[in-house]
This record gives sequence, structure tokens and C-alpha cells, in this order.
Amino acid sequence: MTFPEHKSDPPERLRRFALVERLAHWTYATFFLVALALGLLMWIPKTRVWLSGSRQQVSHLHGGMGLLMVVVPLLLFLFTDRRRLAKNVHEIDLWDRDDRVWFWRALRGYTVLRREMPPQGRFNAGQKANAIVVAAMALGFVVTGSLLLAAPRLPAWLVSRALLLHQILAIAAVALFVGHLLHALSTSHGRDSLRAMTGGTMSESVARERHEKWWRRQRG
Amino acid sequence: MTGGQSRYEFDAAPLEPPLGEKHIGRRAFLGLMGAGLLALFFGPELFSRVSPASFPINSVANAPVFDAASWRLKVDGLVRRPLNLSFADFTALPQINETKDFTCVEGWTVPGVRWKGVTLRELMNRADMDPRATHFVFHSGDGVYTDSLTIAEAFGSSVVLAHEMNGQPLTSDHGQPLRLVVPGSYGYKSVKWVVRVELIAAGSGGYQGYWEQQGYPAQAEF
Repeated sequence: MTFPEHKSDPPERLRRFALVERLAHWTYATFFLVALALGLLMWIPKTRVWLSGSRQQVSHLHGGMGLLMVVVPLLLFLFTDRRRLAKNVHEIDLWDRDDRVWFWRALRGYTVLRREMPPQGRFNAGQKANAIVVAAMALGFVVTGSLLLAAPRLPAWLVSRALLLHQILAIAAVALFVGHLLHALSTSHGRDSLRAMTGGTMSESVARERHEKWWRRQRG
Repeated sequence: MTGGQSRYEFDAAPLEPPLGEKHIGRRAFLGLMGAGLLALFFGPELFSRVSPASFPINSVANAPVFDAASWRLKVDGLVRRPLNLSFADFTALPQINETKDFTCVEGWTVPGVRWKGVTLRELMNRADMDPRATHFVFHSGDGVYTDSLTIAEAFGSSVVLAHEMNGQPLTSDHGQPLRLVVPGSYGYKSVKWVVRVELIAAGSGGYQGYWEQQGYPAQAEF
């Protein structure tokens, strides 16, 4: 099957994300937030006591949400547009010289200082790095979470290590999520990217300024 | 599946060949996986010791209210002299002190907890265990939680019915006035608010306590 796509986008806007990409993004975000909320309920001492005998069910629900967070976006792609998934992975995997220069300049604060940055494709190097880290963390959550759910039958040394890594991943994921959200809301190009992630299209001016190589391909 | 020509923008060919493309994405992903494995196996060494800032509280029901005047510990079942001890009777029994780590099945460990209490062997010296008994069953005053130990496990030198933790009487959250402590086994065996110790002949099937009924193994040594 395929999702219905755009009939006619406004001329000043470029289609950046297909429906399946947006659905995958938002389902991942939704399951992540639900899993985070359930994880916090089990972690905060007062709510942990309040959960009492329901903690086991909450723990399984938390694990289920974590699994769905990974599985649902993948299934969305696999059953609708496998080719697009492969293409996205390919784009995120390959970094040309401009990507590498962009990334190191970004680490040195060039984007904040509004200094010149190399032209970028549909994903800039920061977005590529974010996608790689999120994918690695998702796998880390699944592995350590599975170990924790199987804990009664596993040796204590392995369970304690899984718990430690799961907690480190959770803290890192929250930090990444907050940074991602702040970036999306606090800058005009971030807000335009957010609009692309909801409606699918990006403004021509932001595309030209921030994703020049992709823009040239669209308009060239 | 989609078939035929896609309408998406990414199909447009680049105008110029990209310079120096490298598979950074997969390398970074694999690198992060490697870092994760290192953290999994060496994390606790890097972070010294896995120990929560406080002793996390787990319970499956509300803590019962402790009234020293009316509280009793029953020891019954397959014993020749059933006991019905007040808290004063219990604390008058020979006591032991021990310092042990407390490890929960959730993965956290509280190191070096100091316990004070009475061993089960000491209790059986008074109750005179029937040789047919195979298991101790510990009943919590919350009316919900139970768990068991085999006779061999229960007579382990460090298994204790504790009424003090770290030099203080147990708090309500930690099982006031009495909790079982089974060092070397996951914390779910360490029943809180113990009000009854029952000896049974459970046979090869053993006894299914609260967590065992939900799939946890009866043997919780780690």
C-alpha cells in the first residue's frame, strides 16, 4: 500500500517529508514520551511507592511502549515505502566533505554565531548525527530494556549493568529531546522544519538558505 | 509496496558529484554500539559502584500500621510448639548483627546494609520443627505478599528476621517491625512486615509466593 500524497503544494514551498516519514517521526516521538512518563513514574521515589502493586504492570507497559517506539516506525516504512526508508538510511549514512566541514563548524559554534556554513542536502550534518544517535539509542533501549524485563532469570552483574546503561541512555535521550525541541521552536528555520514535519513542506527561502544542495536539485 | 517511478524530490540527480563521500553514518552507529557494549560491561567499574542515593522502596500493597502492644509474630504449621510472640518477646531472643549488600531484581544494589535480628534456626530451637517440613512460608501483614524458602536456604547463616536496619528500628516503608533478609538472593525474597512464619511440606512443586505466581523463579540466588 501507499499513503495518499500531496496533490498540489503551494509554489513557494517545497515538499520535504512524505507522509510515511512524518508518521514514523510522530509515532516514535509519541511512544518515546509515553515510555518516558511511565519510566519516570517508576523512578521517582514518591510515584514509585504510589504505584505499589501496579508497578509490575507499569513496567511491562513501559517495555511495550519502548518496543513499539522502534517497531511501529519500521513497519510503517516496510509496509508502505521500503524504498524511501533505504534512501533515508543512505542519505544519513553518506557524509560528503561539506557535511563533515558543516559538522565540525557547528561543534565550534558557527551556526550560533551565524558564520558561513557549507551547503547542505535534504538533511544537514546535524540532523544526520541526530538520526544516528537516536537510532543507536533506540537499539540500546531495546537491548537493555529486554535484559531488565528478563531480570529474575539473569545474573545480578548483568542486570545491574543493564540498569545503569538504561538510565544513562534515558538521561541522554531526554537531553537530546529537549535540545531537539528547543531548536525546533526557538529559530525560524527550526519552526519551518517543524512545519515540514507536520505538513510535509518547507519554505523556499529556508530550503535555499539551509539546504542549498537539495534546493538546487529541486529547482535545477 | 510502491512500484514504478517515485514522485519524491530525492530522486532528482545531484547537479554535481559530491566530494569525498564517506560512510560516516554506519561507522558512527557501529561506534556507538561499541561504546554501549563497553558501558554495559565496564560501566559499573567506571562509575565505581552501582548504588542508589537512597534505599528504593518496593511494595505491592500499603504498609500495615504497627502497634507494638497488639502486634504478634505467629510461628505455626509443621512445628511441635507453635509460637505467638510479642515484639518484646522477639527482641528478647538472641540477636545477630550482620552487614550485607541488598540487591533488587531491578538491578540496583544498596551496599553494606547493617541488619540486626534473629536467625530462623534460633526461632526453630524454640518452635521445634517437624521433620516433615520442607519450606518456610513468610506471610506479610499487608495481607497480600508471601514468599518461601526451603529449609536449607532458611538455615543459611546470614538469613535473618530483622527488626533494625543501620542501627535504627525498621521504618514502616522497610517492613516495620520485622522483615526477612536473605542475602545472596534478590530482594523479592526478603518479605516485609512479617507477621507469620509457617512451616509446610510443599513437596517437589515448592510454594508459589506473590512473585512466583507472576513468573519469577522460586530460587532467587544471584
